[in-house]
Amino acid sequence: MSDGVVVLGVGLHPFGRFPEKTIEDLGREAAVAALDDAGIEFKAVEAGYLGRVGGAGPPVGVGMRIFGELGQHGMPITNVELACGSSSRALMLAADAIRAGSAEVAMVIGVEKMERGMLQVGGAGATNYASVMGLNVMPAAYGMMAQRHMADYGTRPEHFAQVSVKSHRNAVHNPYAQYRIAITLEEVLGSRMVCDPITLYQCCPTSDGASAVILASEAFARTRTTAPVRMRAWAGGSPMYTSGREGLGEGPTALVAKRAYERAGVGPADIRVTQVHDAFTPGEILTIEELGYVPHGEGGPFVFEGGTEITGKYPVNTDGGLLSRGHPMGATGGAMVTEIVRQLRGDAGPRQVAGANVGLVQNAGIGGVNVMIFDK
Amino acid sequence: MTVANAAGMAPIREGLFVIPEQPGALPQLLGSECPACRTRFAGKRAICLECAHRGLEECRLSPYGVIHTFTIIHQTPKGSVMEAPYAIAQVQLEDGPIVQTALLHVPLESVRVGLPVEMALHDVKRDDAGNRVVAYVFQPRRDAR
Repeated sequence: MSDGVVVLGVGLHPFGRFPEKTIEDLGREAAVAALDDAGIEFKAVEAGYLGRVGGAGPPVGVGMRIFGELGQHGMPITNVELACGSSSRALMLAADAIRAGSAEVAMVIGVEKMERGMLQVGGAGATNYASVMGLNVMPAAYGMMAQRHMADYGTRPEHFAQVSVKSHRNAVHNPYAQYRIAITLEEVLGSRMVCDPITLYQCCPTSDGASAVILASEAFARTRTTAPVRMRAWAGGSPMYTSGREGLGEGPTALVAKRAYERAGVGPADIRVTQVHDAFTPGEILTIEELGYVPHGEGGPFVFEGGTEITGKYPVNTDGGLLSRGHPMGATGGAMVTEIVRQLRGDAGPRQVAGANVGLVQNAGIGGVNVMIFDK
Repeated sequence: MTVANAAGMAPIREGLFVIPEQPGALPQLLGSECPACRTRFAGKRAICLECAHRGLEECRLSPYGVIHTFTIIHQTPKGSVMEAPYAIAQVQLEDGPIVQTALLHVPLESVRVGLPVEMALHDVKRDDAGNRVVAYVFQPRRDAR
């Protein structure tokens, strides 16, 4: 395939709290790790994309600053913001550029430094009506999705809680994860209630961290590797108005996934390892239904019975996901891709999925949704 | 700056909802209606999502609806006048739009999907002139049919 896109290198700065480091430090360290992984010099990179939402640090132009720390050879740099889906959208733009032939090698850096505390849309202390009335609370959005799912299908609080048990267990084996401790179902259910049915241990932490991914044309990659992981297909979306109803919450994941499956020439049954956007536990259950892994309404029991474990039918968030790996918003998409690449290379160590040859990433930002499919 | 009505009530934000003039009448949210296809939307819109007509008209939305979904928030957000625990909901109004709102005057354990609700006013504070500053909330429908 002449228009193929290859993931040549991946790298992370560990996720957690790093008050002594600047956002430039985080991004540069992830980028250097990705360059070393790819085995290329920075000057070979022909286009740079920076995914970041905008917590602590400079308000604008972070892409210029971070890429500028790596070198300055005049390449185009683009800052991309799609809330929590920023770096996956940046990756899709980079892949478009390679497929179009406007760059042989492109690099995506995702980075964030976050404030502590409960995420509020528009920031804590915003003075718009919804903020004043206590409506702009991120876990509440997922709590409402969960309540509707419970009413429609009988999904139970322990089904959601099990997502966190599984993710924490996986993160024990991920040296880049923020939380590397296993927790029990009783501990998850017994932790402080935040937005019913979501308890504290079902919320991702706020985090500092960075990810970097280097994409290359298949022609360029052939000179560097004999076992390329390919970015096979990608599709993005935003909320849709349908039949008298405005789009609520996130974009049309099922439709976006269908497009990605068609472009990749695969179906749900072909996916061996998956990363989904589990900022809060309902994310995993609702998304595996949207991706077509299980019928609507069966996601809760499927997860509860181990279907998304590393040894399950559809292993999900093998690195701990947002819940345990952490969620420095702009860095998350690139971290999801990093895990899929490690899985497809067979480099995931104790969390390796046997026979992983096709992987899928679903990353969502407020209103935006991205699905990418990788193979080898 | 908000302006109080004859009853000494002022909305916490202008342009979001209407405080009823007559006692016993319900407050109403301001929405947008398409003059071509009559589809209604929450809040201000310029262009119709249904038929792409340009130039929607302001309308008063139905004060009645049912709970589409909800959650109970157990942690008071910074900068909010609400105190945890409190319920919020997405309410599907009788004339179509879904709006997000706080729920009051309901035991938290009886909030459920499908509960019929109506709009109500909620006193937030008094301003410097002694007026009641009010926000809108929803509560269980008192004339539940």
